[in-house]
Amino acid sequence: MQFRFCVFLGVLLAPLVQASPDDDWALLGKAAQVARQQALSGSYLHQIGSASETFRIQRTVSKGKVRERRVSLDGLPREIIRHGDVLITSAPDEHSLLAAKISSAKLFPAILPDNVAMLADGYALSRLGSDRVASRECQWWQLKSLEAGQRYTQRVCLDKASHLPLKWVTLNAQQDAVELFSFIELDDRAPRAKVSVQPVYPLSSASSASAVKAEEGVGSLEIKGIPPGFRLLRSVMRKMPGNDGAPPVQHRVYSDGLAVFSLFVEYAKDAKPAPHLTHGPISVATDNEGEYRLTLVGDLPDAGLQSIARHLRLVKKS
Amino acid sequence: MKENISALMDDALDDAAAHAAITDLQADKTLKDSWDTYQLIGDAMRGGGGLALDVRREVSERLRDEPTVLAPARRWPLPARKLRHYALAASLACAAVVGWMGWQQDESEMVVAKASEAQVFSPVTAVEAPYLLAHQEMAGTIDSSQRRVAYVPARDKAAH
Repeated sequence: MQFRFCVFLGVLLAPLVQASPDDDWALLGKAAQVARQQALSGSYLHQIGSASETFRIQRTVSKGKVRERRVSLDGLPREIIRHGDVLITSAPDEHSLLAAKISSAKLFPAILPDNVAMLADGYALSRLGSDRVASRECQWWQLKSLEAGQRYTQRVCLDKASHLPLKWVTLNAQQDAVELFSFIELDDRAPRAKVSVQPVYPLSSASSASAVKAEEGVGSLEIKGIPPGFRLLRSVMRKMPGNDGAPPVQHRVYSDGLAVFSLFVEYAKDAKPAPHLTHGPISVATDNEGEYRLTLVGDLPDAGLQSIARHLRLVKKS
Repeated sequence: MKENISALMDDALDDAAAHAAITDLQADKTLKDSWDTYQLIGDAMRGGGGLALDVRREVSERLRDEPTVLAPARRWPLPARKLRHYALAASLACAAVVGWMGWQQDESEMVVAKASEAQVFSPVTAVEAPYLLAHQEMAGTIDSSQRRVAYVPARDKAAH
């Protein structure tokens, strides 16, 4: 009787037993790879707060080279083409082309970084419940900041069969969705017709992913106090848009693999007032460090960005 | 004698024979019962037009005589110890299932913004938000595995 009772209890508690963390991160790595390489066609919704737009996406893979085309179905007309390492944005006018460039910054379903292990420095990974997205069964996973409130919580629902991300939700501390991507309909077979990589609009802009590297040693200042998990992606001296007459500004971009923020360092007397913008995932924070003004812009919670700004220190290079 | 009764039913007797058969019916109870039975069979074969069975009184009497049962008989007597084990297991199962479902529901709950306030996306301009635009321009040229900036809804364009 006792034995049978123990077996019965074991069966009851079996679902509560979690897989090892290494297995979970390995599965997330598989999802990152599938999200970038899986042949597919479908459409997805992108929502920030109360604003939304939809895209049509087609992707084939031949000899490891991706041919991908996504076209906006509403709002400003634009298309984003990925051909191997080359990214092409195309639109009928300059304003729409800028929108296309911004859209290209987040190419759902490929939101996870290639190296998901870097996320372990800033996030805890956990498995949540099951769901159904675009008529497919999927499993929710959560990436929650190790420092409460400092970064957004990310939830991704992975296809149970292929591990393709079907839905991605960014949550703030109140568990409200500040950004969402979700497939509406999806066919994970290669499109029958060849995916064209030729822009259809007159204006286009191409960039190569492999050409981008962080430029260390730019400027005469060294930045101290960057939070653990963030690494420098780019560092340049640049003119601010719309203010060509002002002195150059040191612009650095940091990322933890999911969140990206820019740090602008300039003389306080030259700095323009920074806008207060906290709606959606983007926040802005400013702080003075001696004679310099630090301005941070990025998709982190307002409290997280303010905290980073307070802890930054400038050290003049000898 | 029964042949005469059958012939009487079929109206096959003359008056004298019919009179004699009726006399025999009244005198012999067995014949009377046979007559009643034949009549009943005939009614049934003709469609039951004259068939009338009133058993209500008999059924009521039988029901009245039935004993009233207040509780079912116990079939499988269980020892108290076994009952306690089953109760404990059921309680644990219930708690585990409810806890599991509650946890899943809480963690999986998604909040989506109201669709009634739908807006369109529009990139900000250098005049409106130079830092945001600079951030988006720069982040948009970063390696695709790291590329990540966001749109700002038109209504939420920054103001100085």
